Amino acid sequence: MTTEPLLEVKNLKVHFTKKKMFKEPTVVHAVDGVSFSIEKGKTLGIVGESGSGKTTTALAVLRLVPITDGEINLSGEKISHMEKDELRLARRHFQMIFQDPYSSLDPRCRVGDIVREPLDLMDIGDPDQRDQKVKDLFEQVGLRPELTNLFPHQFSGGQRQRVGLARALATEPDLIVCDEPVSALDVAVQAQILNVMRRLQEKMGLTYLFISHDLGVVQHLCDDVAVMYLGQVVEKADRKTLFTNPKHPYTKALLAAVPRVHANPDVAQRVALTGDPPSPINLPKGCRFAGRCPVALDKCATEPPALKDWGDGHLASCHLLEAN
Amino acid sequence: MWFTELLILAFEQETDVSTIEAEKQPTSQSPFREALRAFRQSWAGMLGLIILIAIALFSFVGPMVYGVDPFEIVWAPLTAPGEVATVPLGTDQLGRDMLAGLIHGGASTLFVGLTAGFLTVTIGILVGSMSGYYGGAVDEALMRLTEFFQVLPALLFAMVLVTIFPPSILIISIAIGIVSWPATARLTRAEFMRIRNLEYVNAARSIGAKNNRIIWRVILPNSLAPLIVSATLTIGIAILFEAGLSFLGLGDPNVFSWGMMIGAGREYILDAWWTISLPGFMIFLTVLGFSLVGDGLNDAFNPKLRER
Amino acid sequence: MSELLSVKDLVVDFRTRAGNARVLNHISLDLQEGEILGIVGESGCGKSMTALSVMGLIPSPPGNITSGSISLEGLELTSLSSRKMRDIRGNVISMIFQEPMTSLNPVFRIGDQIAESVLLHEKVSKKQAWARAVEMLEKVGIPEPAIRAKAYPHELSGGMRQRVMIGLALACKPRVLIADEPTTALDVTVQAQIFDLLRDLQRDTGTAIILITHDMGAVAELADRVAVMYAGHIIESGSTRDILDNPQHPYTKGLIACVPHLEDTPTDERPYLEEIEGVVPPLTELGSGCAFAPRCQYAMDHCRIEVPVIQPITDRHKVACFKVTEGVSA
Repeated sequence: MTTEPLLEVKNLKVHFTKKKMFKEPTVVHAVDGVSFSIEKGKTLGIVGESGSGKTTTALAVLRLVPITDGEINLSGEKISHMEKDELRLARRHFQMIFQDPYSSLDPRCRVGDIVREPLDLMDIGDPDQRDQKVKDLFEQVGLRPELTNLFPHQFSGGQRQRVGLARALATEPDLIVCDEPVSALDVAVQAQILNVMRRLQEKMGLTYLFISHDLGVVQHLCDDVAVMYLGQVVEKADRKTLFTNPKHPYTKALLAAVPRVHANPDVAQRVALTGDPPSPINLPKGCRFAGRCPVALDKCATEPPALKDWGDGHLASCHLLEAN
Repeated sequence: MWFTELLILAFEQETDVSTIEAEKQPTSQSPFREALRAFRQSWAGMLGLIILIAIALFSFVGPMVYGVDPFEIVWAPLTAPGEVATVPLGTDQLGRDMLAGLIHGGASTLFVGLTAGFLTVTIGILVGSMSGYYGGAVDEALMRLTEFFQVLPALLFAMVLVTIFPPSILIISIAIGIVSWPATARLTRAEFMRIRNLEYVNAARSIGAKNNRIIWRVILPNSLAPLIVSATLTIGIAILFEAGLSFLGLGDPNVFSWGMMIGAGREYILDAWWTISLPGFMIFLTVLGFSLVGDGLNDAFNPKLRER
Repeated sequence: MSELLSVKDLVVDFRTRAGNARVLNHISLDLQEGEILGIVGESGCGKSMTALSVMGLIPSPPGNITSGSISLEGLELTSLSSRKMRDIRGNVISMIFQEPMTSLNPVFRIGDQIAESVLLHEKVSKKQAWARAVEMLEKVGIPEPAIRAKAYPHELSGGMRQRVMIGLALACKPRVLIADEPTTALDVTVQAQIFDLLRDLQRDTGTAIILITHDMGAVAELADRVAVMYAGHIIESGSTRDILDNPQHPYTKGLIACVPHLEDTPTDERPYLEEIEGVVPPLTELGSGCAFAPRCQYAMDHCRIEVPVIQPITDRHKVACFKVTEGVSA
């Protein structure tokens, strides 16, 4: 816990303002004060439902959406405040794997060129070295190097995701942000991709920021897990603590809602959440989860709880924990 | 340009990719070649292509084979087709050879169509891509400009341009181009706005591509399919436009075009059908050819219409 | 319980540019009254095609039912005229789809959409149909149903829309409900709500449900029996506990083992996931023999020559695998 984190995000805010004629502009609080850090070689999972802001967080870390407030440091460099060419060149240190293997590869580029493009843009190596590097990358992600001449539509979803992985690895980045990298794939292919990701991490010491709604996958892959709800982290702990001893009622409900394959599903015990998350435009005044919370106190409707450390870096924000 | 490539590929022998064993020699199929293979299977597209090739041969090889000067008075005015063997398609109101006129009119008609089409697509893509990619204030400004040109009465505006400047076929082409780019701009903008949000554009940005590269190397090639289809149709419309201007007497008097032939013959409609029907038929055929090719390209580029 | 729907030896072919694709290859299924049958498999395995065949919605051309029968309470559906099939669809058999966003017509009020379906199949007045619509919305757990019936689809959340879809599908009290990946597009907490709803409705109305999914968890939650499909074949079927706790076919085993299931008490040890090597072969390139043989680590010579026929190994547990069935008979 004493090592310097590779990625440090402090109080990140991403608000989208929609201007309207004759009306007050509406502000979507997609990400609203999120802080976390990842140590080198580790994987942090961010889980949450749609609208929780997990994808926006990923895009903000990659500097692909404008940041409203906050700070992002990667290896001590303040990437949140870089501009233009400085940012463009810094991008080689943080790369992304996308969700949809069908729309994340340019259909008009040969896959070899797709993987080579970052090398060209970042001016890494001479042309011969780049060709060799592309072949090496293909082998690393488990594709035959002679396939570089083909076009994306000639590949299956899993193979395309491997091409996306090779592209992300091309510039030898420190951090790879993965936004639901396997949720569009068939289950058998999911396992292949997850295993490749893990092997590469072990071999190259990669650091992953892993965004997913699939708790099983997160539990399998991540060292630490943060749970997001309506733009905020409501609980964060290491993998084992979070899944065995969740503190926040939302985390508990989320875990309970996942269907189990082997244990006899005990339906009566399930903490049934009613309703849908409120919109990130008109946020409730108190705790954002209060409206759906089965154990909410009076206080929860008026006063937002703070994210506090409950020992060993287990963070959670809930009034109920303080009451006990 | 793409059109010549299309010509070469359309008649190329089809190789059956499925017979090549995937394990041994992976062959790459570019999406463009895929589309051309589909194009070859569309009879509308192929028929259109054959019509256009026939018209191109007629207009460009014709003058070498049939060496009659279209401006020369060769026989009595308004001789009907078939009446005299030396003027197979008859003569016009001045006694000039109709067949020579049709042959020489083709080149200028095609020139107007292609130049105006090229101009339309160029302006349209420039305006549309900037507007669709940058959005915001740039989009607002460019779209207001587009709307301005869109609500201009096209024919009147073109007439004004042609009357101010000396009526050459280049000016006519430019006039047509200037009044017809808004539709292409809107189409380009819509395509850019759609593709801008796809993940591979984000991917390009996250590996450090500059805006220019993203616009011209990533988004444009992917939005080309509907643009090519619309360009093909635009050429047909430009040819009709030129015919309309010439019919109103605003064409280039020094150059033979089919539209001008119709314009000149309009007073003799009742007495000499051939003076306007023959060039009219040629225009019809050319526009039909371009439309059919456009249709075929649309089928080829739109995988949803393609049979799997 | 009596047999409601029975599919026997169904073969469906699709003509494609690459050749003939046999999307369903001698499929046999039966559905008892009031039962939930899960059909699982990866994309392209034929699970959705099975549903479309039962609904009489196979796009033709290129699709075609080559042989076999589908009978609903003794009524043969494959030979029915398209008009009679229309009467059955939405009335006796209904279907809900994966995408609640696109399967409701955005320009009509949700109440009208349900009422229209009722009017189409029953001789009732408009007023009665509307009343039924409101009643259905109440049944599927939509708050203030009389007011919400006047809402348009875009005014509802994804979960609410899927509830409306279920209400729409159940409005004519169908005997069979086909749910094609009904919760794939939904968040997990909403998915749990929809599962509860489906289970309650099934208990109340006795409608039999065919649940099509790729998610073994969903099957575990909901289904009584399961059929596992691969490349157009049913390769294993049995009770849910048979399949999940005691899978026999190597593909079923792989399908369960390759998913990282959520554990309540995770250990520090994290073994790599089991992989099923390769990908599902294109249906146009299936050779002789078991379709799974090229990916199967236990494949024998026999498997590459002959297609294994699905056979019972216990009372209700059936498997199509030479390794399993020959082991039993030996």
